Amino acid sequence: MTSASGLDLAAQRYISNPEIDITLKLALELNRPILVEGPAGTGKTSVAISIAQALDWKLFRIQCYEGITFENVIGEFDYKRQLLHIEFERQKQASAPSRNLEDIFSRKFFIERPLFLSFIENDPNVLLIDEIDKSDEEFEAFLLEALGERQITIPELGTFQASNEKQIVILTSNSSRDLSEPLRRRCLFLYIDFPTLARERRILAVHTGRNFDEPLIQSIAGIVHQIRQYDLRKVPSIAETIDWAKALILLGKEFIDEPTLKETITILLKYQEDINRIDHQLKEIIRLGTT
Amino acid sequence: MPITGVILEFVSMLRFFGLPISPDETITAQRAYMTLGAQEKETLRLGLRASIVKKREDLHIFDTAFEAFFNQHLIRIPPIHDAESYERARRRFLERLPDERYQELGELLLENQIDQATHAAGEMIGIGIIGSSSQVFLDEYSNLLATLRSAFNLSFGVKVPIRDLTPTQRQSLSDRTIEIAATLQLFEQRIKRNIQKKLPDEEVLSREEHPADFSSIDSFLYQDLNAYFSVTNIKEQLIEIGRILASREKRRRKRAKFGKLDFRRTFRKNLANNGTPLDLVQKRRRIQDPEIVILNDVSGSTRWAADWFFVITYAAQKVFKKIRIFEFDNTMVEVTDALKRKTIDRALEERTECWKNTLRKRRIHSDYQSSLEDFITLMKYRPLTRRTTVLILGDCRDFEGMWFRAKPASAELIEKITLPAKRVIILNPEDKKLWNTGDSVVDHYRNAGAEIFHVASLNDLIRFVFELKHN
Repeated sequence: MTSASGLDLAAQRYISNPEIDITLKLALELNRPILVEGPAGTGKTSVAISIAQALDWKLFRIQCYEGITFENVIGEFDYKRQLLHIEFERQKQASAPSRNLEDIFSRKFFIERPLFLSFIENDPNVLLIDEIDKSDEEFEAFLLEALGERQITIPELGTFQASNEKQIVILTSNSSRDLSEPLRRRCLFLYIDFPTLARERRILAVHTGRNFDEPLIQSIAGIVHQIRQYDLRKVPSIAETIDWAKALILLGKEFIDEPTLKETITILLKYQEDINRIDHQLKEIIRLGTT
Repeated sequence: MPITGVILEFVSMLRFFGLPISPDETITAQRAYMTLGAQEKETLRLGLRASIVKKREDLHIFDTAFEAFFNQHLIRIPPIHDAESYERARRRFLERLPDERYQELGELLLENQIDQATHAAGEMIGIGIIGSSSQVFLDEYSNLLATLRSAFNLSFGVKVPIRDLTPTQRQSLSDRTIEIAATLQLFEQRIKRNIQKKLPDEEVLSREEHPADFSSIDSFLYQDLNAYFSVTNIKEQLIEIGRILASREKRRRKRAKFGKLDFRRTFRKNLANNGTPLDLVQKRRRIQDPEIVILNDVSGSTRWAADWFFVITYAAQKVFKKIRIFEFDNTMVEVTDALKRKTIDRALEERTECWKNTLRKRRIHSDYQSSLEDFITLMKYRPLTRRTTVLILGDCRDFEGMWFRAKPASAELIEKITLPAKRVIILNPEDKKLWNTGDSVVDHYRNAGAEIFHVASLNDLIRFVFELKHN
């Protein structure tokens, strides 16, 4: 089933919502990057991967981290190769002195990395810049040129304009740091929150092969929704909900009672203090989650 | 591509609500509008939202503004030409108002009774309630006007202020509608003037134009702290300062990890290359995270600084991995857990919760002796080590502590803490001239081994904490 964006993300096992579909449609039409924000584990990275699969476009991924630099995403000159080349040329010149040294700052000596590759790629592609908030401010500033003008400047090689007409750039962020205004201004904004009950049931159904109106699937989604209401250090993500559903199916459970929830709660909650916080309220959580 | 009036009007409305929308974003919104069309309201809402809003916090502002604006544009409001259509619009207007008080105010406005309406609104906003902060007045004032304006727009199909209407738009309106719109406009001006006259601190009114000054915290000393503390933008600015400092600190540490070129290792590594230095090895330094224990004096005299300090600590906690934060007046309580909350508001709530479980009954006045005794009890299972720096933020005024042999008992406890710790630093925000006067025991604490510094401003306070990382 195709959505407003014209893409069948469900076929890639990604259950979208109207907000995602419309933002995607605009990104395709207006050729603008999308900045996706939201809590961890709500499907920000998966949306980019699913788009690439649905369109059958190549995916380039940049995983940001503290200290990521220009060289890590654009590329760098191969220092060893340059040295070897100089040494080789020197020996050659000894026998044939007229020969000139080839320019060692050419593409031949340049190790190309994902951002550069995605720009020079002739075919349409998806560029995923994951967890941009983990990178430093300098890196964010460097991206402005690439996102705004769709070009990259490498001082030794010149300016490279994106050679493809169609490219979807998706930046994801968990908001661990506030991103700069200029970067935000260049992007369409999409906030993916935890899914609604109905959407989560559909997600579980797709990933477990069950029907979304089965009592077990309904209970799982309902209970996880109840748990998310608590002020926890880490609330269960969609991936953890899927894992929990798969575990319950594997254990042959058809309904969830207090002992079952107690035994399997570690799949959902990853901090002991979170487990302690809801430990005495499991009965109430099950009651509210299953009604 | 010419930008249609609808998008321009909508963008100017959003700007009025405080969203900073650039011309480039306006063009994107226009392109989104052309792409999606205005047939489906929900599609248009989501499309414009993606193009205009850039922060999660602004989403609800956008949604509210969209509802108010596009209901008017997408739903055709019949023109008011006769008594019957006026009566319908009047009913719609009153129904849209949230409660009886608002409806009474609405009636007064429809009857052009500006004086009475101003008086009624003044009572609703709460002018004259001693102790309410200026921000409360402003929020109430904005809410009241926005509610009235939105109800009027949606019922009578006209935008105020009417001076913004084009002559053609004006011609299409009945005299009665224009009259009510003018009344509403006059009412807005009147009530705004009234509030300005009654507010004790006009600076607060213009705070948005003049952001809070952090160069001196002394200016906040005798102010009603809660009034300032409830102001979201100050909290946000503090959080921002903390974040900036934290990210600078992270970068500094990253650079500090790599030292000079390690010749020995470089030569050894490149032996395989006949000594050609293909791989360079730098010396690596091991930076140990310092353990910091903060004791915040929250008794009356230093409460203001303790509150600022808590917010800053919250914002910068990523840098301080080994930090514990305690607060004291006559007893000590640990509030480290509050720092783990997701938002600063939750953290402040949790901090209040922590105060429910104190080791002894609270008396609000400073008692360094009993507080430090409690601190030693609380630290029993995780004692101080040679790597721990104890940072006390307080004025060293031991109001209720006991004295033995011409020495405060708390000085002995400071000595007891100083022995195992790396350093005990006391940051005293009180004017230096007042040190050692009255119940101030600064010299006694200094003799007990504590280092005492005067912090004159919030910036000093922040800088001090960050400098701890380098010592």
